[in-house]
Amino acid sequence: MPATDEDLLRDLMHRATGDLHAPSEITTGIVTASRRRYRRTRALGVGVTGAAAAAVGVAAVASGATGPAGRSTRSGGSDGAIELTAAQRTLNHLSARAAATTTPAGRWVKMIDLAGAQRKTTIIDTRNGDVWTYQPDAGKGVPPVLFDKAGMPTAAQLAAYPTTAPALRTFLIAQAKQQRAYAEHEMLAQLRQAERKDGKRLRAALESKKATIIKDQPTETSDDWAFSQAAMTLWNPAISPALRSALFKVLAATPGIKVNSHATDSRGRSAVEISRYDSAAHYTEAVFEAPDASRVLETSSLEPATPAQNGLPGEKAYQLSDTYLSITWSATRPSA
Amino acid sequence: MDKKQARAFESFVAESGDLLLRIATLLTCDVHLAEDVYQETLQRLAGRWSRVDNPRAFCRRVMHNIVIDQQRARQRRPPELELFAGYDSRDPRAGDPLAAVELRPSLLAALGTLSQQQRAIVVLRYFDDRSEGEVADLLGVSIGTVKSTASRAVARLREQPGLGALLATSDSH
Repeated sequence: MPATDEDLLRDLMHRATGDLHAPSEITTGIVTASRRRYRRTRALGVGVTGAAAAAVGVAAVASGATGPAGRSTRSGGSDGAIELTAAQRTLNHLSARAAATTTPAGRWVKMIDLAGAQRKTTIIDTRNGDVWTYQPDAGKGVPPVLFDKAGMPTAAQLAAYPTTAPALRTFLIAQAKQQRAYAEHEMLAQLRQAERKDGKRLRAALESKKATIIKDQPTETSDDWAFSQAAMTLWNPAISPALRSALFKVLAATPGIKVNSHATDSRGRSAVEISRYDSAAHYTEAVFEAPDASRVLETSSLEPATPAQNGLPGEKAYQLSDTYLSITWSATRPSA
Repeated sequence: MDKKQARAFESFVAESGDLLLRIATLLTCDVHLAEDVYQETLQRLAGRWSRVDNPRAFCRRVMHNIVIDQQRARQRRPPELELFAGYDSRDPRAGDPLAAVELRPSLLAALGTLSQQQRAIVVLRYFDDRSEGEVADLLGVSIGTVKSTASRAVARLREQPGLGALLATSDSH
């Protein structure tokens, strides 16, 4: 028989809360947001690259010799004779079409997109790279947020990107690696700040984990870097026709790419689907390009399901997609 | 968060989510506020998932910090007298609604008369079954403080009319 007040109190507290269950949509929301952030680190963590563009250029020259050579041996035993695959031919067509498009005039780009089921408006200032987002579904009266100060390359920085395929490839690879290093640096800095707030004990945990953070990073190949970086750059509406054209050439030269020229995006719009499985990150990343090569309609990533093994539960497939409904340009800052 | 981490995070929440939400409810004395605290806690946990050794301990600590922060924020506004609100018996998630619906308002009202520190110590000590040493460590106070605060808090709860009666009648269960 429970005797002490403490035991009775314990019993009361359990009985009074026993019917409360944690809503699973909270977990789902948080996991989805974290996954999206993880993938977007590469897309939006580009602020640092503009300032260091000169350094990247040097690195590109230094590593340029190994890139294309290593690629041709891996893409499969065709003793020097160039044989274009159907995918490469399609990408070359897109490259030609992209070169014929025109750059819209204006300083501001307003994109309306669906991130999963959530509608959001993104406004990019192409002069300073600031990114603003408005998320009408996030709740009543949610104010617009400066999502990322100087988060995107500025028009001037984009104009300095190389527009020949081999130079662009080495540039993109160097840029991706630099972004990763920067993201790691930022992550550690944030961690240190958080730990000052949440208590000293995390300090020890941080120190012991620091080595593993670096070690646990997946090891991408140059082709992985080239594809993801090219795909992310293609998404940027502020790039010039010459750069778009060169990006398709870079994609055509990256092994492992699949192209479906009769695809449709999730809204049923016809598109050319360009996808590749990233063996380091274990997902397939896909870009749905408009058939006229003028813009990206949708980006998505699919992580395959894995079966249960060794007593661990299986993992269901994850699909994240961003569908761009409209892209408009203006000379003055648009409203949400 | 990569896929593997997302999986681990989800299974941690599947295992500990209910407990964390219940702790949050007892700490905040408000079912709706508790969900906000729970969500904020998980968000902070997700943000540094790969660097947290003991997620449960991390959540307890963070939850306590959030509740304190929220209280400070609320103290700047006029108090809302809504002690018995916040339970919807039509909530499909309710498991044993009858016992809970009767008990919860009086229990939360009684807990609400304690200071945040007293409440945290009572909840961690008797609901979450942490040892005195663990509670002291989590809250950054001495073991002596935990002991004396806990006994003062229990004595105070005894004095609450609603809870005093419940504590007296619980013997028959």
